Amino acid sequence: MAEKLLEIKDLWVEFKTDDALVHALNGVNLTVNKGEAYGLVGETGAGKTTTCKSILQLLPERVGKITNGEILFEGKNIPDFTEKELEDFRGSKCAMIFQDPMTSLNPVLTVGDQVAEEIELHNPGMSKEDIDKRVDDMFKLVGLLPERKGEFPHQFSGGMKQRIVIAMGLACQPDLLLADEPTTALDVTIQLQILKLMKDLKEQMNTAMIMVTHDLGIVAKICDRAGIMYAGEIIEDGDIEDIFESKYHHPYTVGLFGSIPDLTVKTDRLNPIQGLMPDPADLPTGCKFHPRCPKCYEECVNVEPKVYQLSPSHMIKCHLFKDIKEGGNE
Amino acid sequence: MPTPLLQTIGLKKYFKTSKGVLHAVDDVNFTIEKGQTLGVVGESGCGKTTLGRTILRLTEPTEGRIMFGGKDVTHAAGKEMHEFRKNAQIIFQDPSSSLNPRMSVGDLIAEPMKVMKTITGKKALEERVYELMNIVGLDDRFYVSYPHELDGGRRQRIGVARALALEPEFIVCDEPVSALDVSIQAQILNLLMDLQDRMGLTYMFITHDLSVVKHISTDIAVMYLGQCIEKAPTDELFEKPLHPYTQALLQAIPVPNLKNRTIESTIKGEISSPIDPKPGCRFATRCPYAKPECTGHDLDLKEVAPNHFVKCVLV
Repeated sequence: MAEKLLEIKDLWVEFKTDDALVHALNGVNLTVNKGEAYGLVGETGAGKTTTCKSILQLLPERVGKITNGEILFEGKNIPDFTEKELEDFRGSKCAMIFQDPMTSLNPVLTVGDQVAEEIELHNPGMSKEDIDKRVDDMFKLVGLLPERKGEFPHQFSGGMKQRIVIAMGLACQPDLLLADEPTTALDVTIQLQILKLMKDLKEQMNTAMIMVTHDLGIVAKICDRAGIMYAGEIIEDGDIEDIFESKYHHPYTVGLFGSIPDLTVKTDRLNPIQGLMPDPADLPTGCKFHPRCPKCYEECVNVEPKVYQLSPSHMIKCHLFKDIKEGGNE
Repeated sequence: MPTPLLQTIGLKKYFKTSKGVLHAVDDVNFTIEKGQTLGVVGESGCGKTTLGRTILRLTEPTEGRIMFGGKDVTHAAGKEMHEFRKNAQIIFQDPSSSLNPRMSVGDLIAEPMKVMKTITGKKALEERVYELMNIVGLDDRFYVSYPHELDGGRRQRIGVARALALEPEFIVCDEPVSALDVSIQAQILNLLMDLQDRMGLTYMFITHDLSVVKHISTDIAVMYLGQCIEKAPTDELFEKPLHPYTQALLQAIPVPNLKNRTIESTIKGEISSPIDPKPGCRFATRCPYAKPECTGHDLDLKEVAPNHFVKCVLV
């Protein structure tokens, strides 16, 4: 049995704005084991980024609040951490790579200084030479020339900036890396280089990873397990074999796959999900997907579905799976 | 053979910068037949958007000719230009920045018809706006809404309605779905394809997403640093990509299944500068098969199979 690194139990997060109470996360459960890559898939507003920010306790002060649930990192509840404990946790145990490399770097500091800053903070007393050497190592690791560390972010291309951000994320060798759409802003050929880099690094350093993405293709390439998020809930969770090869899926997952034009098969029309993401300030009753679900029936409108375990690794939150066991008859 | 709806001959667009001349579009030749869709793919900075804008003369071409319906519109002016504008429209990439935030949906869709004076009379105009909203799948209740009140998918539907307002024959779709979520993206793609069937529209579809372009296009042109390096019918291009860059692009798409989980990137490095490029193949610096003869002299787009053109010394 794999060792649990991070376990989120029934996490609820709310944002209080002037006009509404936004229900961003509504009972998220997820587990990431040591050295494992977990793909968190969903569309805009599903709560992927909020989940990551909750782990690092980076929710906007006063506005965003965890109302229920636990985030256990190596068995300890992160929301109970003191400021000091959080400082140790962020960066050295858990780091985040943000979506947009253009805005997550400081434009007036050299890239070398930005990588060094973190090493310095987490290793008080480390000599200047050692820090310098470590920065050089990080640059080499992500495939950049250490000679360029004196340059500023604007002198690098998008793909290289993302490499710098990854170098910053990995500088203190965290156990868990939260990658929030790290390749969305990049071209496909560059995306491939970055994905390869992340996969190699994961294998070399045995870093666990939460890969936030809307691209199922990326999940298929580098993740070991994945969860599909919709309206602040994980509605399907399993090993990637469960997600990509099982015949049972949540209707939303089916819709996601149906929306992607297939490169191998010629289809005249796509089968997208009808309608739009629900307003998180005004969520539907029962199953949150029911207004868009082609298989919706009465129970879906009124009763929130339970989580059904189809196999030890595969769970789906949908009324349709009440009586189904994987491998069994329908 | 009928005259193609659109043809470019040696189309060039150069920009002067402080560092030299930027070759955004460099000698591009292609034709689009009526009712067909030409997909233009390439990475950021390859000149695909500039190509679309130059064809519509939203920026003036530096050299070359644009033929529309058999007529040369490169230097069209006055009445002729008026006619061309009516017949050739564009859908922009970012629906949030291409709509005036101070105009309501109804006004936004009516605007092209007011400007071109195709429909007169308040009542008739309003009816036409409702008709267009119906065509693109926007509920009537949004007539008085403002763009910021709508989500990206609906905003893009306004963009489509505006492009359709003048009943054009030809629409340049500049990454119309790349800012949208996949499920919404599929809705818009279906809409564009339905409209094409119903109205016999001709599209030039600009995108960086190969799976989208495969789905919607009849022909595909691959661009690299301002040049078209391969052009072929869609199925042929996906079955037999000949240019190393096309091959790398196809290989780089993460496919959502578990058949092949290894990640291999054959091309290294990044796109080189489009400022004062040296003669020769512009992909040579990243190409795994580069040979000495790749550099030094410009290559022609060769027809290697019917309608399959490639710019590469290897073929």
